[in-house]
Amino acid sequence: MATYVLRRLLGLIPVLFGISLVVFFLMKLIPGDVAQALLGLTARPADIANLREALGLNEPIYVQYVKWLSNVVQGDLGISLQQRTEVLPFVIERFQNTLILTFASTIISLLIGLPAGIISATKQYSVFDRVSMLFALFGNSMPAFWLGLMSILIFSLKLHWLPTGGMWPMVGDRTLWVLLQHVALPAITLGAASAAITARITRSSMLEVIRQDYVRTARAKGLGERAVLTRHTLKNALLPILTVVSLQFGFLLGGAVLTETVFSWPGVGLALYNAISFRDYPMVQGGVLVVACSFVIVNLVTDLLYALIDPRIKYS
Amino acid sequence: MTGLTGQQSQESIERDAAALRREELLSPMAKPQSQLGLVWRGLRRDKFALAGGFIVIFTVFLALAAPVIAPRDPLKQNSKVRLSAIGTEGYPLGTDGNGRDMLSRLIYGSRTTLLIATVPVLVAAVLGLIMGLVAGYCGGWIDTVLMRIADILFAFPAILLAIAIVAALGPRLLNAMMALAIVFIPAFARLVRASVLSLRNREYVIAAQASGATGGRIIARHILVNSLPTIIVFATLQTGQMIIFGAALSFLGLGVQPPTPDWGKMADDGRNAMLKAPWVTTLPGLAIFMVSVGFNLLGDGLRDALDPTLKV
Repeated sequence: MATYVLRRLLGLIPVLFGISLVVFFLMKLIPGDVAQALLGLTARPADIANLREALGLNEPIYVQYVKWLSNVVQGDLGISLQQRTEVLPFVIERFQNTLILTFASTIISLLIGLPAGIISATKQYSVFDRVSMLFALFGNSMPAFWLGLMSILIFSLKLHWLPTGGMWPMVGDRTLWVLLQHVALPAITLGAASAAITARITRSSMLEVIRQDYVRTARAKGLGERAVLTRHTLKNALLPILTVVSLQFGFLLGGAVLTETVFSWPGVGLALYNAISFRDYPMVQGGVLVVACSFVIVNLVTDLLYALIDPRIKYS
Repeated sequence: MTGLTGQQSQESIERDAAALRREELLSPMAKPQSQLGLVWRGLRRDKFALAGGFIVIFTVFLALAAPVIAPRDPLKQNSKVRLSAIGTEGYPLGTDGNGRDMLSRLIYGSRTTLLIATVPVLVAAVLGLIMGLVAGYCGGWIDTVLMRIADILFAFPAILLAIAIVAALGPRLLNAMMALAIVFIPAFARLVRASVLSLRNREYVIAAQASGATGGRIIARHILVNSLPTIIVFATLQTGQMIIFGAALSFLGLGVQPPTPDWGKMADDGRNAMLKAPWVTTLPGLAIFMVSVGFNLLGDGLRDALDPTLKV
C-alpha cells in the first residue's frame, strides 16, 4: 500500500505542474496590455510603464512564470486588485464556505441518488424505476441557475419559508439552524443534477453486479434478499459509485460558481465571479488554482480509497 | 429509461415478428438492412427517443424560420408595454423589462442556443477524434504526451475552466464557444482512444495489416467507421450538457452579449422583477430545459438503438 500511495503522490507532480502552466498562461491570453487594462484607458503612459515594471511584465515570459511559480509554492498568490488584500488567505476563507455548500449538496445528492438508484435496480422496469429515471433525466437537463431562481421565487419570495440568499443574516445569531436555513436552497439547487447522475450510475452499476454468477449463487444457497443486496451486490457495485461521487464533487465545485452567484453565497465561486467583472486577475488566478488543486486532491483520495476497497487495483 | 415491462416487450416482439413476416411476404427478395436502417428501426420503437428527436427538430425549425414566424422584432423596445403579462393582446407570452416581445425573443433565442451548443460539440468531437485516433493508434510517447494534456484539462471542473478562458479572452459569443470546445476535447479524446485500443487488436484490423493496408487506411476504413456510432451517441448527449453550459455562460454575462436574444441572458434579465413578472425568467429557463431534455432523450435512444448491449 505504501508504494502505491507514493506512486500516486509522485503522479500528482506533472498534473499540478500542468495546472500551474494553464492558470499562468491563461491570464497571458488577455488581449492587449494588462497594465493598460488595469489602469484604464485614461491612465498616463508613465504610470503604465511603472506598473509594467512593478508587475515584472517587461521580463521574458518564462522568467515571469518561474517567478510566479516560486511565489505560488511559497503561498504567495499576489495581491487582489479589488480587495487590496493578499489573495491566498481571502480565497481560503471563501473556499471554506464553498466547501460547506458543496458538502451539503453532496449529502443531498447521495440521500436522493443512492436509494433511487438501488431501488430502481432491484425493481428494474417497475413504475418506480421508470419514474425515477425520468426524473434523473430531467435533473440532468435542468440549468442549475434557473432551478435556483425558481426555488427563490417559490420558497423565498412567494412562501417566505427560506431566505433568498447569503450565508448569514445581517443581524442575529449565527447558529447551526440559521446556517441550515440559508444553505438549504443552494444545496438543493446544486445537488439536483448531481443526484440525477448518482441515481443513474448507481442503477446501472447495481444491475451489472446483479447479473453476476456469484449473486445467483448467493441466492441459490438460500441467502435472504437483504443479505444478497448488501453483502454481495452493493459492496461490489460500490466502486463505480465511488468514482461518480468523487467526480460529482469536482462538478459541484465548478457548479458552485453559478449557484453562489444566484444565491449570493460568499464562496470562492462568487469571489471569482466578482473578480472577473472587476478584471481582478490575481484573484481569478488564485481562485481557479485553489479549486483545481482541491479537485485533484479529491481525485487522489478517491483512488486511494479504491485501493483500500479493491486490493486488486494496487497491483495493476 | 426506455425500458418496457415484460408483458409489453413480449407484445412488441410479437408485433415485430408479425411485421417482419408481412414484409417477407410482400418482398420475397428481402434486402439486407444497413446500419442506418437498423438504428432507425430501433429509434422508431422508442417513444422517448422519438419525443426527443421531435423537440430537437422543432428547435432547429424555430431557429431556421425565426424571421418568418416571429410575430415582432425581438430587439424593438416599447416602454409602454414593459413587463406585460402572458396573454396581453399582441404579446401572447408577455414582454420583458424593456417592453420587448417575449415570444419573438424566445423564437430568436433558439438560434444562439443551438449555435453555442452544437458548434463547440462539433469542434470538440473533431479535434478529440484526431487526438484520440493518433494517441490510440500510435501509442508510445505520443500517446503519453497527448493523454497527459487531457489529464491536465480534466483536472479543472469543466465549467470553471470555460469561465476562466472566457474571462481571459473577453466575454463574446465566439470566445464562449471556443472555451466550451476546449473544455470538451479531452472527454472525446479519451473516448476515441479507448475505442481505438479495443478495436486495434480485432481480427479484421490485423487482417487488414497483414494484407498490407497503410496505417491511414486502417484508421479511416476500419477503426474510424467502427468507433463512429459511439462518438455520435456521446456527441448527442454532450449537446444536451452544452446547452446548459452555454446558457450558464450567457447567464453570467460571459456568452451571448445583449441585445442579441439568448435564453440564458433572458433568464438573467428577469431576475430583478421575478416576483412581479415571473414569466421573464421562467419561460427562457423552460426553453433551455426542454431542448436539453430533447437532446438527452435522443442520445439515450440512439445509444440503445446502436448498441442494445449497453441498455441496462
